[in-house]
Amino acid sequence: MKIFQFTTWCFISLFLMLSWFTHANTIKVSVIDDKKNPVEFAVIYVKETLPKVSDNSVVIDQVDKEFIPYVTVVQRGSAINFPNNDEIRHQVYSFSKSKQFELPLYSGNPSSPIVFDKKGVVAMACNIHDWMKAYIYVVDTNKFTISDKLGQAVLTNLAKGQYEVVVWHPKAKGSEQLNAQQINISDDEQELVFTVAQKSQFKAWRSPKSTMRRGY
Amino acid sequence: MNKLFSLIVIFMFLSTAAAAEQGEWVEWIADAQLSYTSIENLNLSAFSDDTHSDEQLAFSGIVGRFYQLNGFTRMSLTLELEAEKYQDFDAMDNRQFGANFGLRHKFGLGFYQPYLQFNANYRHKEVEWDANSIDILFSNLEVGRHITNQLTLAASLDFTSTTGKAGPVIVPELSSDVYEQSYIHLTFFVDYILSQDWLLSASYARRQGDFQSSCSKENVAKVLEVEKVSAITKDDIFGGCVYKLDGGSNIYSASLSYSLTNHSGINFVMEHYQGKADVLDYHNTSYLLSFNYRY
Repeated sequence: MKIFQFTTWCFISLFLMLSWFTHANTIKVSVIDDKKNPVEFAVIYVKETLPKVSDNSVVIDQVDKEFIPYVTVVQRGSAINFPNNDEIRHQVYSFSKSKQFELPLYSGNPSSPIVFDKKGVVAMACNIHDWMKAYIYVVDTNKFTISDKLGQAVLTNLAKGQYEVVVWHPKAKGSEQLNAQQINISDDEQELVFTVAQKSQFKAWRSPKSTMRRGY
Repeated sequence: MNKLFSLIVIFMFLSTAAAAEQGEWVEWIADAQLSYTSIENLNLSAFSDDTHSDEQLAFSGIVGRFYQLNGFTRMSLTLELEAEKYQDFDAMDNRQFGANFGLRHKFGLGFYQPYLQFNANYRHKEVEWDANSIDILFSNLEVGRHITNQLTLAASLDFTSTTGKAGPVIVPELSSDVYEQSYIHLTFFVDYILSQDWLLSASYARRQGDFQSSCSKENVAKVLEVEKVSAITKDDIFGGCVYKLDGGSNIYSASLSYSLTNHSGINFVMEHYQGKADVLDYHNTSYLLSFNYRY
């Protein structure tokens, strides 16, 4: 019986020690603009260089003539599927340096996903519906997240150490370096606030305009 | 003329449909507009003592469908219905129904590629005072382009011809077919997105061709003295005469749109018409507030 109690005690102690050494910390991030309004769809990631992955589980959907989600972040090497769940056809394209591609007029699921193997911003759109616009941000890390409507996000599974945390947003003014902060992870949970100045950049107008007739 | 117009439209429709190997009917079109308009100088009189203003409630609906020919060209066929109700001059109340054929081509892949659009439209306007009922044939060619992500420019050339019943002859040497008109508009449009929910639009149109004006019996003599009136008849709506003449007009329009959802919006439109024949000036201003829905 004593041997059993001793063994159990050893296992618990070992588990606690391992937990201490491999403890995963988190960073709570708030992203606001210069008027202190929350910024949704900001990509928050840790700057590091990891080898590319082969993940093909990422999906950018097309519903009610909009891309969903508006912003997607993936690790370099990931493949993205572009299903079209509208009952009409879309023509998806990108001219971005990080990835140029075109999915000619299609409905349903394209035959194969598209691999994003170069880091950076990929701005994509639909050639039929000008307001349809979305962004893919390709990073060299697996530590990334996207802010919600309240401008909040959480970076998890961070080991103790020194990190550079970067924020990117489609409307952000200036370079990434302006939106980067150094952080030393030592406690369980830390908080970072990023203020991202935004430029005027809008999707094409979609809502109906007046059809007032002109003249007589 | 009308037969030729119809034949051209049918030919364009059939040839574009036949040329589309990958063609497919795509999204449905279902637009609706409910509007209130305040109109100053509704009768477009040239005399300040002879102008009438009114308020109008209108509903219009458009149903149809797009046919996607390929990645760059789409065709649309729509049926249009409209009803207008006036506050005071209820003899002007009217119902309209018509059809539109549209063909839009985008010159390549990308947001900044220009487009060219052709429209051919037929509409019958049935006015409460039947003498004013007309048939309208309209065609236009529009070219446009996104200049920046906020700014879009477009230009349009419109041809309109109307036919209607000739009224009673009141000046023996002049025709009474006031509603037989043809005119051209050359319009320039600017759209500027102020924020994701607000759109500012402006347009300037140069209009050339026939137009009509109503005035009291007392002012008719002055008009006939200085203008080359091509047709004149009795006007039972405003209680005087309505006459047709040829002239040039400038039409200025500005609108502010607010997006309620992706499918609906509120619009405020102000339009000023500044016409001139040989001597007299014809001014008119309207203010429109509308709720618009698009499926």
